[in-house]
Amino acid sequence: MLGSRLHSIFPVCYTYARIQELHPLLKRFIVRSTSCNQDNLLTEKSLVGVPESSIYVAQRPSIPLITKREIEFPNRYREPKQAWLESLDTLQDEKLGLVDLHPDIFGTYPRIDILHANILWQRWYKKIDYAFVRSRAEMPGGGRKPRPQKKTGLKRQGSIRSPLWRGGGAAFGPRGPQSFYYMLPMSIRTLGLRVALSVKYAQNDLHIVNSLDIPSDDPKFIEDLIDTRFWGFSALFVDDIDIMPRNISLALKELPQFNLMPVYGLNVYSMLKHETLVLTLAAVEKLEKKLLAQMHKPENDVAYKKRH
Amino acid sequence: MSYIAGITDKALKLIASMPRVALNNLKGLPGSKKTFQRRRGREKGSKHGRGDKGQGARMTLPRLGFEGGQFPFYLRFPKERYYEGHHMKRQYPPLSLLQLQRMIDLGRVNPDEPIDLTTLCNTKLYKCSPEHHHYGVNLTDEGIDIFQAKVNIEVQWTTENVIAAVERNGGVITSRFYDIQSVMALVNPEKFFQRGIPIPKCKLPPEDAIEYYTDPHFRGYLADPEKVAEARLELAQKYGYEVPDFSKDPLYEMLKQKKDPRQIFFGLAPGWVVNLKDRVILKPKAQEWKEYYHS
Amino acid sequence: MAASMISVVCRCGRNILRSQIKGKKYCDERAWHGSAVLRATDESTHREEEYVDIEFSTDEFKYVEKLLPSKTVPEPPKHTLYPTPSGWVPPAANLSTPYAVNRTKNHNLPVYLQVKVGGTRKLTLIRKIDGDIWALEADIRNFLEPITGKKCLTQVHEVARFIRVRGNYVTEVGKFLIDKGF
Repeated sequence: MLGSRLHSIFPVCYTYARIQELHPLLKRFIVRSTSCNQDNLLTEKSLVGVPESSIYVAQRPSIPLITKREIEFPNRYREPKQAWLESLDTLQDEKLGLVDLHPDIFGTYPRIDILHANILWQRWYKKIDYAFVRSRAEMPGGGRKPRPQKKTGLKRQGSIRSPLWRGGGAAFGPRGPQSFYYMLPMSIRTLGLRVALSVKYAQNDLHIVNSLDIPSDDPKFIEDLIDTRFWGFSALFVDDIDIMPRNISLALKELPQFNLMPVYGLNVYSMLKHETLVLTLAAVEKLEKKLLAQMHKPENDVAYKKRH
Repeated sequence: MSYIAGITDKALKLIASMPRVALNNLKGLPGSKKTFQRRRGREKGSKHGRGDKGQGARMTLPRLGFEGGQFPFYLRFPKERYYEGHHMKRQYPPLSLLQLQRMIDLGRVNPDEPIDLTTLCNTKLYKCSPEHHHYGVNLTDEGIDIFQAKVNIEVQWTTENVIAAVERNGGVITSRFYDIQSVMALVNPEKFFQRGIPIPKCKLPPEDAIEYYTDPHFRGYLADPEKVAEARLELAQKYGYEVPDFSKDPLYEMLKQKKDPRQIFFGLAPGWVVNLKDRVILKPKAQEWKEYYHS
Repeated sequence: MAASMISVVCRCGRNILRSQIKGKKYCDERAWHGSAVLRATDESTHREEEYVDIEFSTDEFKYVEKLLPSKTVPEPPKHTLYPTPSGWVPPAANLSTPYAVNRTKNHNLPVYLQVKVGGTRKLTLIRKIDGDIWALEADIRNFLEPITGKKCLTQVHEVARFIRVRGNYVTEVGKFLIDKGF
C-alpha cells in the first residue's frame, strides 16, 4: 500500500534505493488518497535493473498530493507560512502540493542589521592580512653613524635606516600576517539563517522542490527551466545530503551562476549572493529540525573564548 | 487559538515590494557602528580632552592601589584568616526548594524517578562545575512553604528545615558525598561515557566530612538506617507533622531506591564501561577487578 | 625491560579487548581504572591471555538512557490547578489583544531587569513582542501610572521588538502580562 503511494508522490526517476531512503520522511505528511491507474505507475519490481536514463516517466495522479505538513514547536500567535511544492521534471512550473512552513523560520522579522552582521562576519573571519614591512631594526646596516654629529653643516643623523631616510625602515608599518578572526554569537548566526530564509520567502525567491532530479544532463534544459520560471540570473540548489543527483551535477558543471549545496553548507552569504534559493523538501525538513533544535535547546549559549 | 497579524507580517510585506535583499544593500542599525575618533577642531582639538602635559596626558598613571609611596591600604592590615585556603575548600552551589518545585512543575525534573545530581544538571538550569571545587548541590530553604512535591532526592548538603519540608510531603532525602572524579562523571554522564573509561568507584568522604555524612540528623548516607528512621520520627515531632508509612505508598519502589556507598549511577556498577555508540555495557569478569570494585 | 614495555592508549572498551596485551594481565589498577593506559610485556606469547575477560550486556542500557539529557526543552505537563505550587501559569488559550508576548523557550515570561550606570539606572525590559507594539506600550503605561503615581517613561524598539520601561517594575509588568493571558 505504502509502495504504491510512494510512487504516486514521487513518480519521477527515483532509484529504488532513493525511495527507500525517503521512506521514513513520508510518514510525516498527510497524503490525500488518489485514485489512479496502477498500470501506469512503475512498480518496485520494474525499477530494479532498468537503466537509470530510461526510467523517468511523467505519469502523475491528480494534484496537489501533499496538503498538510506537521510542524514541531508551533508558534502560538503566528500562522504557518505556506509554499508550493514544485518539481524539476518539466520546464513549466507544476505544483505538486502545498507545504506548511514554520513561521519562526520562514517568517521572522526581516532584521537587515542581523544579515549585515552575518555578512560582515563571513567576510572578515577568514581574512588574513599578509602585508608586512620591515622596521629600521630589521633592515640591514644602519648601525654606523652616517656622519659626525657636528660641523658637517647638515642635520644630525644616527642611522641610514631611520624612517625619515629614503630607503629607511617603516615606522608603524603593517606587521603581518594578521588574523581578523572573530566569532559571531551562536544566536546571531542562527537568527541570520532564519532571517535570510524569511527574506527569500517574502520576496518570492524561495522555491521548494520534491527533489533535484532532472530528466536530462543537458545544461540547456536547466537553463531553459530557470528562464521559463523567472528564477533570475543565479540560483542555489540545496539538498539534504552531499551526494547530488547525476543529471543536475553534470548540467550545472559549466554554469557558475547556478550552484549545488548540501544543507549543512547553507549560509547567509550564499543565500544572499544567489537570486533564487531552491530547497528540496528533505532539505527543508532537516533545516527546520536543526534550527528549531537550536532555538529550543535547554542550555544557554556560551560566549566564544578566543584562544591565543 | 487565534493568530495575529502584527509588525512582523507588516515588515515582510514591505520587504516583498522592495528590491531584492542582496549583498550590496545591507546596512546595520543607525548608531550601531562605534568608531573612536580623537576630537579635532578649535573646541576640543588642542589637548583632546586629556588636560595639560603629565601622567594623564601621556597615560603613564601609577598602578591601581598605589598611594604615591605611602604604605598602601591594601597592605596596611593583616589578612583575614577566615579566607585562608578558600580556593581549596569544597563548594556546594545552592539550589532552592522553589527552584526545584518550578523544575518539577515545568516537567524538567520527573518526580517519579529518584533525583540526583545528574537529574539536576541535565535540566541545564542548575550548574555545577567540579573544576571550581563544586562537590554537588546544597538544597536551601527558599520556597519551603510552597514545596509540595513528593520526591526521592539525593543532595550533597542541606539543613534540618529542608529535610523536614521534603519528609513532610512523604519524600525521602539523603545526604551523599561524591569525590571530585565522581562529580565530573555525574554532571555530564554523556561526556564521561564517551571517554570510554570505567565508571569510577566512589571514594569515602574526607576526614572533615565524615561527621556530616554519618549523621542521621542530616540523613547521611553512611548513617545507621535504624537511627535515620528514629531521626525522621524525631523531626516530625519537632515540626509537628506525621511521617507517612512508606510500605503502603504507591511510589514505594521508587522511594526506597538508594545507591550503594560506592556506586555513582543508578543501575550501573563501578568498573563497567558504557559504549554509547553500540549501546552496550562492558563488564569485567576477572576476579581481581571484581574484588577491586566491590564495595 | 623498559624497552619491551608497550603502552596502548585505549579510547573504548572494545579497543581494550583487541589491544596487544601480551604476558601478564593488567597488574596496575590504574590501567583499568584511571588513565586506561595498558601496559604489557611481549615476553609471553599465550594467545588466550591477550584478551581481557569481558562480559557484554545490553540489559542495563536503560539506566544509561535515563542519564542522557533531552536535546530540547520539553512541553510542561498539564496540571489540574493553576497557578502551580511554584507560581507558574500557562498562557491563555485565546488572545484578546492586538499584540502578543511570546514565552521564552523555558516557558517563562520574557520580562527582565536591566541595571545600568553602576546600579543607579534600572530598566524593565519586555522582549519577544509580536503584533501592535504601540498598543502594548500604551497599555503598560496606563497600567503603571496609577500604581506608581509617576509619569511612566518608556522606550519602544520596533526593529528588535522590545519595550523598555524606566524603573524596576518586573513584578508589576509580569502580573499585567499574565492577566492579559500571555
